[in-house]
Order: sequence, then structure tokens, then C-alpha cells
Amino acid sequence: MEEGGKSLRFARILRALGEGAVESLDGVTVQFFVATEEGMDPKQPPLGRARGFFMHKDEPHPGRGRAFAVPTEMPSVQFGRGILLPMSEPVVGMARKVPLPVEEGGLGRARGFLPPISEPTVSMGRGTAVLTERPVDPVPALSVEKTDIQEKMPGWEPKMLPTIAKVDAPGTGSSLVSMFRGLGIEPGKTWGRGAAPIGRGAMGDFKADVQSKMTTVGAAALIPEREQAHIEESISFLGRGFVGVDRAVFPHMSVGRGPIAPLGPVSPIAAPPIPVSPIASPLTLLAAPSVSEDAPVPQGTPPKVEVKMETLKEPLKKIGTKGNPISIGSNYIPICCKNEAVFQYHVTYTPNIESIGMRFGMMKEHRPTTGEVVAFDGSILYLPKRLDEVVHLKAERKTDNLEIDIKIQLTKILPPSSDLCIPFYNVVLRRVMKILGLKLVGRNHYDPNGVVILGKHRLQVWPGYSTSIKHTDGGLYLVVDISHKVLRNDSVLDIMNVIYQESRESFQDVCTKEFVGAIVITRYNNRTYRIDDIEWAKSPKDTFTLADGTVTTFVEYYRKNYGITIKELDQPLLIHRPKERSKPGGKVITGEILLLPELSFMTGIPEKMRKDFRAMKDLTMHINVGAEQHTQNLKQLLQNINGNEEALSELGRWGLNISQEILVTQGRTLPNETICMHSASFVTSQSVDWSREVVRDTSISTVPLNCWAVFYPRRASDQAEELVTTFSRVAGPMGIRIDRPIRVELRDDRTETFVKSIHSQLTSEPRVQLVVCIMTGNRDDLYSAIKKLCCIQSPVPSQAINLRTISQPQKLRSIAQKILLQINCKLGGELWTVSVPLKYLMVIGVDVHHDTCKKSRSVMGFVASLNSMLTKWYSRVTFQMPHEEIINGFRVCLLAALQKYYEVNHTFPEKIVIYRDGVSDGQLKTVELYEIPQVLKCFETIPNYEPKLAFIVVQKRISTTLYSYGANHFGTPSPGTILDHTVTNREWVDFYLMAHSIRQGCGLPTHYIAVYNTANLTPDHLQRLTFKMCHLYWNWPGTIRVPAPCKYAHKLAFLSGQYLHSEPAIQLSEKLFFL
Amino acid sequence: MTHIITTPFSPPLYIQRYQFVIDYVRTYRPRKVIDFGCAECGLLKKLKFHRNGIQTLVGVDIDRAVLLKRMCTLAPLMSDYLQPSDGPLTVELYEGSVTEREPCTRGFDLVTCVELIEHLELGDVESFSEVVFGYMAPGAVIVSTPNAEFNPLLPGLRGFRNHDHKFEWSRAEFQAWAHRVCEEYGYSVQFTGVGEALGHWRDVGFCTQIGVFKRNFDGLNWSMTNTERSEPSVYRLLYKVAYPSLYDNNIYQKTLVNEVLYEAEHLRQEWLKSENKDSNNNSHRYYHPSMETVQYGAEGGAVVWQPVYQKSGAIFVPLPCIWPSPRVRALCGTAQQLREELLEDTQVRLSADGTVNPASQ
Repeated sequence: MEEGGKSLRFARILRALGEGAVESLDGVTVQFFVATEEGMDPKQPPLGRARGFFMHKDEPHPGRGRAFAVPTEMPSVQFGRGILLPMSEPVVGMARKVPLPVEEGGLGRARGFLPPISEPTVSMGRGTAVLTERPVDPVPALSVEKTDIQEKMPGWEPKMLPTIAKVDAPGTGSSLVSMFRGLGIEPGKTWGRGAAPIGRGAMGDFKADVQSKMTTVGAAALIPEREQAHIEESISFLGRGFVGVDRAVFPHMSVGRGPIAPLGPVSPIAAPPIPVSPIASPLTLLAAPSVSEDAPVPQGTPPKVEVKMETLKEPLKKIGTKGNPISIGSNYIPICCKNEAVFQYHVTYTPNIESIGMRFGMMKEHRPTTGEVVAFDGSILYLPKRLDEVVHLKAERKTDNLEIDIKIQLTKILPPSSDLCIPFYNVVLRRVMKILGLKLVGRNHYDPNGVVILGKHRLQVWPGYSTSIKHTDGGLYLVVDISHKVLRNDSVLDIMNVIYQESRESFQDVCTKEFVGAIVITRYNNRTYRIDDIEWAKSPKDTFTLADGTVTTFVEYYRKNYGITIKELDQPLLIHRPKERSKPGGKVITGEILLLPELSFMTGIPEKMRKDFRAMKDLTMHINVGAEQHTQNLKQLLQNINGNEEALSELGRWGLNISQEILVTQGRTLPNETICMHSASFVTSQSVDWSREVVRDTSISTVPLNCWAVFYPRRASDQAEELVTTFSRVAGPMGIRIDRPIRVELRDDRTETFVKSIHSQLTSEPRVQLVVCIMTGNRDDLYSAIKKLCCIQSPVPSQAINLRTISQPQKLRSIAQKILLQINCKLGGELWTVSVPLKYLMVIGVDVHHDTCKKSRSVMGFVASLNSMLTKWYSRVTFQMPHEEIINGFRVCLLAALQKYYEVNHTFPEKIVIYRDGVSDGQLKTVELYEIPQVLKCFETIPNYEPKLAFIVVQKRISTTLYSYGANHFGTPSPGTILDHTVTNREWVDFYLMAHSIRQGCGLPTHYIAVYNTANLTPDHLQRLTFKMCHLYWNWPGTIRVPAPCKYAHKLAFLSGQYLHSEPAIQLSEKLFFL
Repeated sequence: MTHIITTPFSPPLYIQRYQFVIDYVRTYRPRKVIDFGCAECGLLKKLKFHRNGIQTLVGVDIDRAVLLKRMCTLAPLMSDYLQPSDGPLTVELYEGSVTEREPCTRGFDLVTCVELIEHLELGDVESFSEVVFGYMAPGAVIVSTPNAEFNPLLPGLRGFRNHDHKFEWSRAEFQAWAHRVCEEYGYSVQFTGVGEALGHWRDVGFCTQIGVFKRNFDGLNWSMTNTERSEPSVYRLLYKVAYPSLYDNNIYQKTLVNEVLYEAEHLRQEWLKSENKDSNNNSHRYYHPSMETVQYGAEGGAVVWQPVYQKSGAIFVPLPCIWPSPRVRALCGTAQQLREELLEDTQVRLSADGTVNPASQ
């Protein structure tokens, strides 16, 4: 999931480059052409440039759509879309042409969001509005250019704008509005990342809702003083910040991706154009009311250069104040850019050259002009140096000696930290890692010199780094995480041989179970592949077709290309099915890659080893590094980079300079919470552990255990008796009343025996409240059978206990206490809570469980609080097919939860906070634009109901690490540590919270992103509420990494996906039966 | 230098040239190979896979930038570390010119100059001959160059095949130069090529003509004198990497010990399993001895098949139990050698009476 998100994000970045050459190998390897890299290799023409081009097929007027947005901010960015709009031409002329952009359709399709034509969208830029949220800011900063060239095209809307709400901006502010109005275009409809109709020097702002607290749109008008900073660059005002605020403040999202209609009134507000520099004048025209709407649209291309400097955007308001300030280190290393700017050019070949390889070749011949430092994708060129505004070069097409004119036109001046530059900075970074002798595997780099060999297990642990350059609130950073790769000395064939010897009859089944889903690395390159299937019918003697059409056998292919002799001719083949992606020219790669078991090495920890505690200790010793080690490794890398001349010069080509020091900044530790039990309450200790209190004091509520049954095999009868006695001994202090159970001794420990006796017991005695099973050993099949019986067939809370855990008399007491607490939760008892001042609040946790072998469906666990103490939980599960949207099931669950809440409280919740786990960065937009509107729609089904909603995405698997810092020493931060600036995302209100206490390893915080917030929750509210929620997981008397509802949802989804394979019975939905 | 002309050959001509060298290497198995004008290191990359006993692989090019760009592709793969090869391999890249005398280029078995000489000025070709054949005096030289007679068959070609070509020779010209070289420096040459024309065009010869030179063995093998040794190096070393191989004693030792330990661990697990099965029937014996041991059994061939056993809390694995492992066998030829190797190691301790306690667990 994360992976997909990542590649999506890359694709998006590149798409933003116009015809970005996009290929995402492994999600990351963007083959963005830094020309210095793969150069002119004729065998491997760089792919890409596609998106723009193959859209042509679908739509007759591609230029239109694009051009419409173009004049608004960068008239010269036609980027091969064909039609160029003269800048003196008003937007209007364009907009009137009626088959208006269908291009959005094309784009959307490429991404899987296909907006129906009947519901077109107008996209306003993320770049549009300026937000001076903090009036304190000395210079309201010249945010100028958007980072993305319009991704979304304005569509057209036959409706008139419903309302024009307040116009904050003074003067002729509404000119744009009226223009749009006249056109019947609803500009405010989509808040995508599109381009907005603002000219340079002009500031336009489109607001989505009147209720917004957005301030000072007009303030933007004050800016022009800064203009001299960039003499020829005009400055226009915009703020990507706007989107964030919009998101945060407005209850009615106008949704960009198409299919969703806006839910509330949308009103545009336009600020007056401000002439900034002399060159700007034609643009001011643009917004001026006097512009003739009837002006014809010339199809020519006025080569007017509209160059803008992109600058940083106004940060969002996300900094909280509660808690004690502390010094916090993080695995972010500041990067300083020495270049003043990066220059973006558009390159056109006349006559047009289709072959990307040829385009590169011709560009390469002009190194004397462009310099050696080039990032080129076939049509967009980035240079660290400035050329003339338009440069014409000549080249000769070698095939027919045709003279080609290459026009290089300056389109943008980017600040060196621009998002557009990040992809090729990352390419540079990868080269640097290579120069340092690190090996690229998957996406991370590993060090062959630091390999730890665990001979006993025939595996090697490779230490390495996962690195990326990010642009966060604090600027440009190199984010380095320590990563370890476990490689095995065994090839897949070796392991197959072992399996064959062990289980001949079920050989194929065992192999499928063992290998499908595993990642292998091939012998002849460093590529990794996930095994999706095994092709038993084929062998290396079979043939396949090479790219050039020749047919060869696998044996011959490997002999010829790699000098490898295949020893085993009768092995099956492994199948890898790459994710669908399009190659240049719209050719979609599907199909399968066949691999030879003999040439594939296994990676990752063997399943057998995972279960072996001692073996895992050998391994984790090397993998779990503490903060000290972590920072040392990190510093070592920095030293290696800074000590390597070649690496430095590689970075220096783009003016990058990586600091030697790890980022140290100020974070906060949130105040300790008070845990409330039945009568006792106490403030948590520094170690946030209340395991003592929880067994000493009475739980909030308990369920008397009158009728329950214990099932155990004969050989466990002593332990069973012992356990029951201990239960009754420890139950008192916790306030639990417990009677003697029905004891059922089984003659053996076969699954069948268990199931039969439980079933007959439950039938004969329907009052049974609880089933306790004592099992010998770790037996998944037995566990699964018991849970299926007790969660689906005859719904009753059940507790499975491994005989081994209760076999040690000295530990029995504390184990019995814990089991009893767990049983109490399962029966519907409540253990403890913390006080949350919000009334009529519902907190929801959502997590998705994916099966490793990807074949089966994924499972969504949904848990919602039912009372104000947050001690009653309603839980549901839905199964979804691969690629099915999670939201379908979500709506059902949400409505059921609201219904249940009403039954309990006789009212609906006023505020709903959703913690959604399992969303990667790349999917945030999807959540915002698709899921949230669906959630809001859900509320509409209830009459007169408009709850406030906060939707918070929870990310656990992130590369950010926090260290405490003091006395020049890095350690692990204490629980409750929060960091909400510098390393945070520029586009969202987000924060990092480390709620749990760390026993071993590093401080891995959880990342929370408030994607939507109409509940008026301030950053402080969000942070504290989240921290409080981390206290409420009853299976652990302490804080955990994620809010309890998320953890519950995770538990539930895991149980359902892994063992039940079906939805649990609805009768159990109000109990935490899944703990 | 191969990308400009689109030739109608399949596989592409440059691949055919590489294949020619690979085939040569397979037949004659040179140990030290140097490639002049290696540029993007395409040939070196191929030879790295098709080693056939090559131990030293050197690339030389005058273009520093292109070497720097491509050198990483010659680095060992992950799998080279996972399964070290038997023979050693060192790859070196130098920035330098084929017209300079570089002492470390002497003593090679094979020198390849694929599509190189046509990039030299004619005057430099003379010094090239002198340096390569006279000074370096390798066992064999493969020189390939375009055959000018073929040019009319190449579609759309005017002038030379590449703008950097200083000349393109006909077969006669090439052969004349080759014979002169042979005479002067004591080589014999055979001519061949890759890329044949079809039909009646056949008689224009190969698209790329190749001369394979072999030094005449006249007993007058040059020897490195002291003066030569002290000659200053003129090339600049840009990249050097030694591939992990079992030839390296450390790696060999490590690999062997790992195999032995793995085998021992495996046997220990088996033993524990069987013990547990027994104990289930009798009494509780959850005690897992934490020590394990490799014992080496009776001397020489008198193999006493002693099973794994437990003594004073430690589990002992007799060495002969390990010996059957095919991997261990492949690494050391004899049980005797295995014992000797293990005696030196710190992780496996052979005990005094023929059993051993492992030092590290």
C-alpha cells in the first residue's frame, strides 16, 4: 500500500512536469532523465513523456484545456500541448470555446479517477490563494509560482455560481469572479492542484466557504515591494497553504477529482491584479474587467517568456503549545542549496522528433551550451544555469540528415528547493550512494562492508540506509533511516529441495505457501522481485520471446547473457507479475516475469526462524539499533559523503550541500495523563506503566462470571486446575466475581475433539458466558477452529491459553491477573479511562489487514466508541476484494455505529474523530477527495444531522525517528514527545507523536495527519486527544504507539482476516471479543 | 561509440563484437585481460559474467567522465557476496591513453581494442602499435575496426560511420598495417570479422573487420627488470574492486565455518526434536542445553558413526556427521582438510579428545 502510494506520488510529481518521463521502477526509480546518468544508451531508451501525448487520442482539443489555465499564471507553458495562448489574451476567450477541456478526463483516467463528463470540474490552483495566516509575518513572503504545472484542467460547468460570498479583497477584486460568472464556470468547484487564473502580479483567491476564518486575502495586495528581489521575475501571489486551510476549516469540501459534487456553497473571491513589474502589464490585463471576452483565440504561439520565481509557501497553523519544551533530534539532515535558482526550460524540436532517445542524443550534443549538469526528460529541461530566454540550436537527424531546430525556452525559475527539483535531487542522491560503494536493493542502499553473517541460519544481515530528499516545513532535508536487509544464502531451489525431502506428497502446496509473497533477489542483477505464483508446468528448457522477437530457452538465455550454466533442468519457474504501468506511447506493461528458482535468492526472515525465539534474538540483536547506534550510523554516512570528493562534486553540480549535523530542534513532552478506574485515579508515572494499579484497584465495571467453561486436554489438567484456583484468588482486588467453571477434560488435543466438545457444551448450556481453552503448543489450526466456532457459529467470548504460559508456577499469578483482565474486557467490562472533555464525542478507529499472499481479500476493522467515557466500543468488520474501495464498507459500519450510539445515548454524536490507519502519503489526496465526502454523505442520510468531523490519518511505518538530545548525546525520547514543525509536511496539518515508552531500539514516532477538521480542534486539541487515546488500549497497562481504537481495529481485522476468514457474528459487536 | 549507426544486424553489431571476444576468452582462457577504449564498460561488464578464468580485468579509457559514470556497474552484485565464486577477480579502471607507456599494463594475456584505432590520428596509430605490441607485449591482441568497403551498404551513410573517426580502413589497408606490426614485434595475425552482407554483396567482407594477433613464442619473453619496475605510472586509477571469492582465505574460512555451523545447528535441532519426543512419554525435560559442539571423530578413515550426544549440558556433534553435507564437501576436498581448517577457527572449537566446545554461541 505504501509502495503504491509512493509511486503514485512520484508519478504525480513527474506529471507535474508536463510530459514528465515517468517510469517508476520499484516505486521509486523514477527514470527522470538526468542526462548525465544513463546518457545515451541506445538499448534503454528512457521512457516516458507519455501522459500528455497519449491523451491526444482521447480528446480533440488538448491545448484548450491547458491553455485555459495557462494565461493565468504562466502563459508560455504550453509544453507541447499544441495550442498556445498569447498572454495578452484573456482567459476568457479560451473559456468560451466550448468543447472545453476534456483533458481532465484524460488525466483522471490515467490515475483511475474518471470524472464523468456530465460533472465536469473546474480546477483552481493550489497555487491560487494567498494566505497570510499569521499576521505577524514580517514580509508576507512572495509566494509566487506553483510547484505543479496544472495537473487538473478546468472543466466547465453549465451552472451559474450559486453564491458569491464575501469578497475580502478590496478594489476590483471581483473581476475574475464576474468573468467566470459570465462564462458559467464555477471556478471554486475544484480545489485540485490545478492552475488558477491569476496572472503574474495578480492575486486571485477562491474561497470555498463563508464560514471560513480565513483572513487577509486582501493582504496579498501589499506585496509588490519585494519585487526588486527578482528583477525580471514577476511575483504573483498564491499560497498552497490555502488548500490546507480550506481543508482544515471548511466543512464542505469541494472535491477535485471529479465524481463528487461540492456539498456546499462555493464562492470565488478574486483579488485585484497588482502590477508588479513592467513586464507584468500584459498580464494585468488578464484580470481586468475591460478585457474583451470576445477576443478570438489566436492559435499561434507568442513566445513571450513568462518567468516566475517559485518561493516557499506560507506554513499551515499546526504548532501546539502544551507541554514542556525539550530538545529533540531527528534523522533529518539539513541540505543547503548554494545555487540561487534552478531554471526550467521547455524544449521543442521542429520538425518534431518522436524518439526520446534521439531527443536526448541531440540535446547531448549541445553540452557546450547547456553545460554538463542537465536534467532532461525529453521535453522539460532543468539547468542550474540561466540561458537566454529563447535559445535556438541546430541538430541533424542522423537517419536522414534532416536539420532539426531545437528551441529551448525558459519557462520558470524555481527556487532550488522546489518540489519539481526533488526527483532529480533524489537521482543525484542515488548516484552518491553508489559512489560510496553501497548496493541498491529495492529502494535502499546496503553496505557490503558491514555485512553480518549468521552462519547457523544461513543468512546475512546487510546494514544500510534508506534515504530520500524531502521538502518539509523546515526546508530541504535529507531523511536517512537505518535499514537492514536479511538475505539468505539459499536459493529458492535449495529450499525447494529441502521441502521436497520433508514432504513429498504435499510438495507443491508447501512450496506455494512458502514462496508466494516472498521477495527474491536474482543472481545476475541486484533486482528484487515478489513471487506471485509458481509455474509448475514450465522448466528452464522452455522458451520465451525476447524483446527483439527471437525465441530462446531460459537455459540458453542465461548461458549467453550471463555465462551461467543452469544445473537443474527440471525446476519449476517462479512468476512475478509486475504492477501495471504504462510505458511511453501508452503501451501498458502487463504479463509475467518468469524467474529461475536456482538463480533467485530468498530475502527476509525465514518463517521457521520467526517462531524460534532464540534464533530471532541472534538476529534482532543486529537489527534493532538504539538511538545511539542509529545516530552514529547516520553520522558515519554523513562523514562518508562529506569525505568523498566525488560524492561532493556530484552533489555540488546542483549546488547541494549536505550538512554534517543531525537536525536538533525543539519539541515538547505532553503532560502526563490521569488514569481513572472505578474509584481510584492516578497520574501516570514517567514510564507510563500502570500494570500494578490495574490489578490492585477495581476496574470501572466488571461482568460477574457465573457460567463459564474450561476445555483442556488431559495432560493439562493440573495446570487448568491451578489456573482456575489462581483466578478466584486474584479476582477480588480487581472487583471481579468469579464462580467455578464447568470443566471439560478432553481425551486428546486434536482440533476435532476441541471443536466437538465446545460445540456440544454450548448447545447443552446456552448460558455459557465464556469459553476458555487451554492448548498445547502454538497451533494456528486449532486456534482458528476455536475462534471460528466461538466468533461466528455460536457467538460467545472465548479465551485461548497456551499451556506453556501457565506452566511456570512462579509467574502464574501475574499471568492469571492479565488473563482475567482480558476476559473482563471480552465480556464487556471496562478497565480504565482518561478524561476527555469533549462531549458527545465519538472516536472511531479504522485499520485494514492485508493478507501476505495478496490472494485473499483485505479486511477492514472498524471500532467506534459509544459512550462519553470512551469505554464502550462498537466493532464491525468488512471484507473487500482487492482494489475495491474501502469506503463502501466503511459507510455501512459508520451508519451502524451511529445507530448504536443513538440507542445508547438517545442522541447522535456531535463530534466525530476518525483515526484511519494504513494510508500512505500518496493516498492522502484520495482520502481527502473521495473518502471524506463519502463520510459526509453518510451523515446526510440522517435528517438534520451535521456533526463536526475530524479525520486523522495515522501512519506508523514512516522513516522519521526522534531522539532526545542533551549533553551532546542522543537517546530515546520519553513517552508523549511531540514534534509539530520543521519535519512536518507542508501541505497538511500534521504532527509526530511518540506515545509509547521505548524498551529497545529507536524512538519511532507515529505520524498523524489531520486531513479534515471541522470540529474546531486546534493543534493542541488534536495532539492531546490523540495522546489520550493512546492510553486506552486495555490489553496493555501503558501507552501504545497508536490510538487505542486503531489498535482495536487492527486486532479485529487481523483476527478476522487471519483466522476467521469471515465476518464475526453481530451479537459480539459491542464486546471487545477480539482482544 | 556504437550508437549512431543503425545497422541492420541482429543481434546488433556491437553485441556481435563483444560476443567475439567472449568466445575467444572461452576458448583460450586468458587470466589477465585489458580492454582499451572501454568507454561505457560494456565489454567489461560482459566479461565479468563470462569470466572463464579471468582473474584481472582492466579497462582503460581516455574519457574520465564516461568511466566515472559507468564504473559502478562493474561493482560486485549482492549475489557475489552470498555465493562467493571460486576464482578471484579484480576489476580496475584507468584513465589513460593507449599511446602512453604504462608499466602496469605489461604482462597481460589478452588486450582488446574494440573499435578503437579508427579514433586515433594516423600518427598515433604508430605509437599505439609500438606501445601495445612492443612495450606491453601481451600474449594476444584483438583489434577490431570498421571495414570501409562495407560502408556503401550502410543506409544513409556519408563519410565515416562516426564523426570522431579519423580514418576507416579497407581490408587491404588494415591487413597491411597488421602484417607490418606482426613483422616488427613478433606476432602472427588472423583476420576475421562480424557482420556479413547478404547475397552477392558478400565479397565486400565483414562490416567490422577483426585481427587476432598472437605473440610468436620465441623464448624471448621479456622479463620485468628493475628499471622497468621503477618506471613511473602514467595512468590514473579511477576504480578498483576485488570480488569476494573463496580464493580469499578469510572468505573461504568464513564460508566453511558457516556451513559447518549450519549443519551442526541442523543436527542439534534434529536431536532435540527426537529427545523431546521421547521426553514427552517419560518425564519433563524442557531443559534446552545452550551449548553445542562439533566433535571430530576418529582419526583418518576409520569412521566411527557416533551420533549426536549430550554430555554435561552441552550437545556434541561429531565431525563425521557433518562431513556428508555436500556443501561442506564441496568446500574442502577431504575430511582431514576440514579438520585442519576448523582447528584454526575460533567459533568452532574441537575438543581435546576429539570433541569440541564452541567458543561463541
